[in-house]
Amino acid sequence: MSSSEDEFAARLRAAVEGAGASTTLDTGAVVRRSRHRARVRRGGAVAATLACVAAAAVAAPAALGALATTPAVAPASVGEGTSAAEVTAAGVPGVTVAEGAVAHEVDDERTVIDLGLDAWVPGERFFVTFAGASPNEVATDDVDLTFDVWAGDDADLATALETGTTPEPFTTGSDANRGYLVVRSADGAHELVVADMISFDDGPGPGDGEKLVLGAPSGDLYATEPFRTSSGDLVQSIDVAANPVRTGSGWAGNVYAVRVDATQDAVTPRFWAMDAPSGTLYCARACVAVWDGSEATLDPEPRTPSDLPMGDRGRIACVDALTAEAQEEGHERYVGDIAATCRVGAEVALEEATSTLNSWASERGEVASLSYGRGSPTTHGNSGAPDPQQAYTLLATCTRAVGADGGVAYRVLQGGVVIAEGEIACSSTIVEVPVPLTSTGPVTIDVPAVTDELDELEQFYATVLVDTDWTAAAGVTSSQG
Amino acid sequence: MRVDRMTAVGVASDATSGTRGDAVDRESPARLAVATDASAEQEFVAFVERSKATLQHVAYLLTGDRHRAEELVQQTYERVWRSWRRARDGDPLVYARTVLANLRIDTWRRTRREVLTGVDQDGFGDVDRRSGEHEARVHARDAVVRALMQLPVRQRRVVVLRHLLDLPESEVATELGMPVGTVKSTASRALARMRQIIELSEGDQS
Repeated sequence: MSSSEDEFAARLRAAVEGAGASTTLDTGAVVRRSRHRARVRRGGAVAATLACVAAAAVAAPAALGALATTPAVAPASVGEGTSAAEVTAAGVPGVTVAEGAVAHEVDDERTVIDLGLDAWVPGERFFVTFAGASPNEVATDDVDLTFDVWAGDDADLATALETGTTPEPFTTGSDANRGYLVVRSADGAHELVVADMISFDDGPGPGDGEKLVLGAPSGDLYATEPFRTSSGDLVQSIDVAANPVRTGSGWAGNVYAVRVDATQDAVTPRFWAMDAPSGTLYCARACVAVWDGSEATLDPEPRTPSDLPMGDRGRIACVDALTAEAQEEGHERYVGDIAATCRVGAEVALEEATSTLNSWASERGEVASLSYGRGSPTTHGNSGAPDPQQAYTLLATCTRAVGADGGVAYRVLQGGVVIAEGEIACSSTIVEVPVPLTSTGPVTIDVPAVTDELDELEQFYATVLVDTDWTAAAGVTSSQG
Repeated sequence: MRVDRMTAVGVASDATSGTRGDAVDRESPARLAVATDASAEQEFVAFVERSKATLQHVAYLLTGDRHRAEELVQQTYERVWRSWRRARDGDPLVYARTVLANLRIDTWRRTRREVLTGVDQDGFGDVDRRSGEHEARVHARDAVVRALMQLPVRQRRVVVLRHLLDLPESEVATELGMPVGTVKSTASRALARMRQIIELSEGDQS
């Protein structure tokens, strides 16, 4: 290193000396959680898990509605037979897991993965073509993959490898935000889910095997016994094999694929997935599996009730229980996540789960979001216009204020008119109030009193969310504060 | 390219699971195992206590977000605890730092939108928060952290370990699992990029 580089590096070191070193992590809580997670790992016999819903016929429409993905439609035709690379998930009729996928390099930037799963057209099977992981991207660890899902036979594969051209893909997607694709047959009887993750969870050592959640951006998933939701859906977790892939460009990762088919009694399993945000316990499971309102516990090995009532009483209990745990563990700041998690309830489809578990990072269903850290505030909103016909709710929380007296006043404005206002105490409680939107105009959250108290206020979060129908909120809303 | 068939993923093994026992009854080996476990836990507690500020500092530099940093540190401890026997065989801090440096840190960057909401006041001791000195230091640190966040993840990891923690290249290579040559070249490129970003930022302000 040159002297110039040495000097510059020394300058950087001096600038960041001690930066961010203070922590609210409590040693006791860290150890308890570490023990807890170790127990959960022992109890959870999964490395990658897919939650499928084998819906009772009467409940199928609800399950379909809850599936937040927009799958591509592929020609419907039931294929016969099972290739050597398929494994039918034990105990889950109609679910087939790809295991032993074969990767073929097309060139440095493209790789075709033969999933070994029969397609719906007889004689064809599914392939995934990855692109985007150029050597340069790999070298800079900044890979955003895209992948196509297509079906073909041996001749199609040979053509793809020789010429780089493939049959028309069923669907194309990017890994950057979602990490999975769903292809559905035209008659709705078949579904293929393909997912990949990039360099996730690569801690060293044996026993640190991957424990991915299919399609979810982060977190662990815990095995649960099959359980039935209040709407009658049977939810069952299954193991999903990781198919390791290394491309010519040096990108290494895994591919996961599952095909689900309607069974003889016309019940169509549906892909769901649930995750837990990394480093926290507030997984959907805690709300899903431990639930009767009167006895909300957070046993790491939850009971599996035959039915999961999800009325307001249950939600309140969920919030109470998780908030209590959060406070015990020193993670009060997640109260917003907890509230959002619990208010969605048991029937959490993938996108709801991944977004609402971290509501403050949510883009779906969020009209406006305001976050005060120490410094200037940030305000966010989505593009589009909110729908006044929808019900909206403000979630706000204020944590660990020092010296703030009487809480923080907030206002929600639309078109310059205050449509909701109030004050919350900085005690990690959650304010949850209806916000009657009056138009399709931008929504702004304003915290007028905070500006002068920034040195004393650690965190203030507020967000306006669609109350119940997250799907309808897609593409909604905008706000700049 | 042929990828070997994978068997179905089974139960994740756990370094601590073998000693925790249901079979503690009256068998000496079991009791001994439990006692050993308790001792390990005490060691782990002590380790957490003495290392959390250091790891938090590293995590903060990697993420630019104190809360995300705490999450990473918590995750790190969970993994270290699972492999505590192996970790304590060597330097547990090095082991933990290796775990931390290799955790997935880019998810946050991709999904969370309110990164770096403002200036963190931590780490400045008794300095008057409103003094000019304090303000200058805050700005300098903020500029560095913001510049770090603009680096690709791999470069960021290398810069943090090599330049900001001042670890030898060989150690960085070991901890990040890359050749020393790659560490050198990456560190150099990243440093140049950092300089460019910071100078640009300073130019904008002046």
